[in-house]
Amino acid sequence: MLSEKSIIKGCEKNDKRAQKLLYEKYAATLLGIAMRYAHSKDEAEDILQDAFCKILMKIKQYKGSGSFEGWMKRIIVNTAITNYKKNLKHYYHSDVSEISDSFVKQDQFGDHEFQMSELLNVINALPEGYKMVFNLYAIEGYKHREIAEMLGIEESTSKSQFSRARRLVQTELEKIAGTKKIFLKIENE
Amino acid sequence: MNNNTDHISYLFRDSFQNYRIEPSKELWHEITHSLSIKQFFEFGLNTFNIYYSAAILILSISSLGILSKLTNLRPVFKEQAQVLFLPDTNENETPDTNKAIVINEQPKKQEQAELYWNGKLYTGESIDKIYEQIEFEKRTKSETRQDDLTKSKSSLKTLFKHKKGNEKATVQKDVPPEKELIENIITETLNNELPFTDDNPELKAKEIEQKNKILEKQETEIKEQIITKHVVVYDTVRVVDTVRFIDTVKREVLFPKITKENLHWSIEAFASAAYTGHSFELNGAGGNDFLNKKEETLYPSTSTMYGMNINLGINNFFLQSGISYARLGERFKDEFNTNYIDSSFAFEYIESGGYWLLEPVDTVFFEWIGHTVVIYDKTWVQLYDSTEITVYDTTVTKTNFNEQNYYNYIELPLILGYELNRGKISYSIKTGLVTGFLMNTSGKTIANNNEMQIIDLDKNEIPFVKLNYSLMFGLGFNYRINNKLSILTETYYRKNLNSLFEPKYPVIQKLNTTGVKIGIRYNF
Repeated sequence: MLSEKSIIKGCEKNDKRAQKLLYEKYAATLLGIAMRYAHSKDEAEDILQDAFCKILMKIKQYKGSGSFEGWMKRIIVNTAITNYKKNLKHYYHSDVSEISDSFVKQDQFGDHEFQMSELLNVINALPEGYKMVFNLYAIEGYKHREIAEMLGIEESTSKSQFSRARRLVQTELEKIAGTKKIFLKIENE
Repeated sequence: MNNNTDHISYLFRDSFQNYRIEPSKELWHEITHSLSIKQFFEFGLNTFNIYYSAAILILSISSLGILSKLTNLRPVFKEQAQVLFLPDTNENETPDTNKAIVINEQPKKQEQAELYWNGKLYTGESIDKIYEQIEFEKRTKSETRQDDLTKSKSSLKTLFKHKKGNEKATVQKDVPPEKELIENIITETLNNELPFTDDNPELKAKEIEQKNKILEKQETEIKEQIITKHVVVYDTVRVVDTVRFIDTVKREVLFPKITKENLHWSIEAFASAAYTGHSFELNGAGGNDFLNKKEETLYPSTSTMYGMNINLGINNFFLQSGISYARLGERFKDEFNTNYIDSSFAFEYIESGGYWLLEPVDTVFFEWIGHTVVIYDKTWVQLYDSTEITVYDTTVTKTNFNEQNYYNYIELPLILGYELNRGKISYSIKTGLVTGFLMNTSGKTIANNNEMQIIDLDKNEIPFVKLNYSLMFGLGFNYRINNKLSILTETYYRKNLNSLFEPKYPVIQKLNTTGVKIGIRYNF
């Protein structure tokens, strides 16, 4: 098995074998990220396809400083953002103005264990803008200032959207946890 | 990275940290397809490929052709307008545009004078020089007349008998109107004269003298009447069917009209030495080990080609086709270790305890105590448990393969090119498609179902494709020995467009060849 360094060198030389090895090594991880930004697996695969082409074409720009996986993750996130901006006009804009961002109560789901599909569904149920901000802030760890630049919005907008998204997520998780408790109770009885 | 550590953020960040989803099987194929398209359209030195080279070459050929045509044709149109009113057409007449003269190249002008005198066409650099020549001839003629006065009777008779028959002086079919005019004037002058009489020779001599004077006078008058003209002579003219005006001419530049006059044929024979490399890629999933082994064992090598081409030249462009035999080489190198194992029996000893062996060596009697002491030699005896074992003796035999592989093709090229002529030397650039028909193969390779097995490179064993297509481009340099023969040299590069093998073979292999061609061309 070739080392990561050898794979990168091979990709720089446009070696098909190295490209395939890189894909086999990282495609699943990158698709996992893309899934959080997409509405379906097909859309996520489109994002991955674009991102992977960028990775292979720009691989010489990777200077070797920092994690290569981190570099690739940034590319797939940026590709997802580009995809979001491109499709912005097609997205359905739900009215979420009634969600208050001033009140955040303590979450009620405690240490409840959620399945990945449940968490994904919660993220996908968020309005588009919220989903982007929530993904970038809560999961990727970007700062609001960076998110504002990436999405072309105000920093304050990023903050408020995250706050609202967090509230929505909390509500959804509590619902799921509550439903599960009821089912568990019925089963025990 | 933000410092968000709230429960929800932590939950999601932690959960998705190692989240993986396997992509669908066809995604890699889609990525490679998309990547090849994107790389094709990404221009850069690193991504410069044969397709760009071919596109640039075709563009260069087209541009050169158009530019050279445009630069040639603008002055041509100017000259063309002059040519339309050459003496063949009167100014009052509408030029017959279907029979106009078009000059295809920048003509060289030179002044030339023409003069018809006494039924004869005189040409020279200037009219003065022609006069000098005529004066000289006249003097010669006059002297001859005086000398032959007495003996010219018969010849003069012949002349006048000729005229008596009311026959006009012979007029050449293609003489211009001026010449005909002069002939008529001379004929009429002579016809008005009385015939000679044989009775009085002196009178006849006087008559002759008088006649000569009349003739000379007439000639002078004629000379005055003759329009001495300066004509422009063009060294290259060509008659075409249609005269085109500027707009039409421009269209003709982009799409040159093919006429019989601007088609030229040539045939060439050549030999070529080349260097052939190759590229590999996996054909679908799997087969990595086989691909690696292929890459490790196959090396670039020399190739040869021989063939004949027929060229059809259309102005500076040419189409080329022909037949050639290509022997494309490849070096197979591999090293195999063969182990021969020979067995024999032996014993293996395992320690299994031991005991002390006491041997009395001396006896000493001690009187003071009244005892005899026996002195022993004490030896430890080690016991071994012996086991019969089989011993294997391995002999490693190294087998080195260093084979020259050949792929032999009969090839039919279809090439488009552009040639620039500069005196005896011409330069050409060309590109096109070469179709190769696989004849046979020879050499060694590894078996696709067992990378450790060496098999013959036999088209009956390996699924070769029968037809292989290559894209080629070349730069030529030709030297013209004479009007018919040229020596040609060319450097070229060509690359397979399809694999050497059928799709079911696990590896895609394409050859690329760089070579030099030398040959001879015969121009018809």
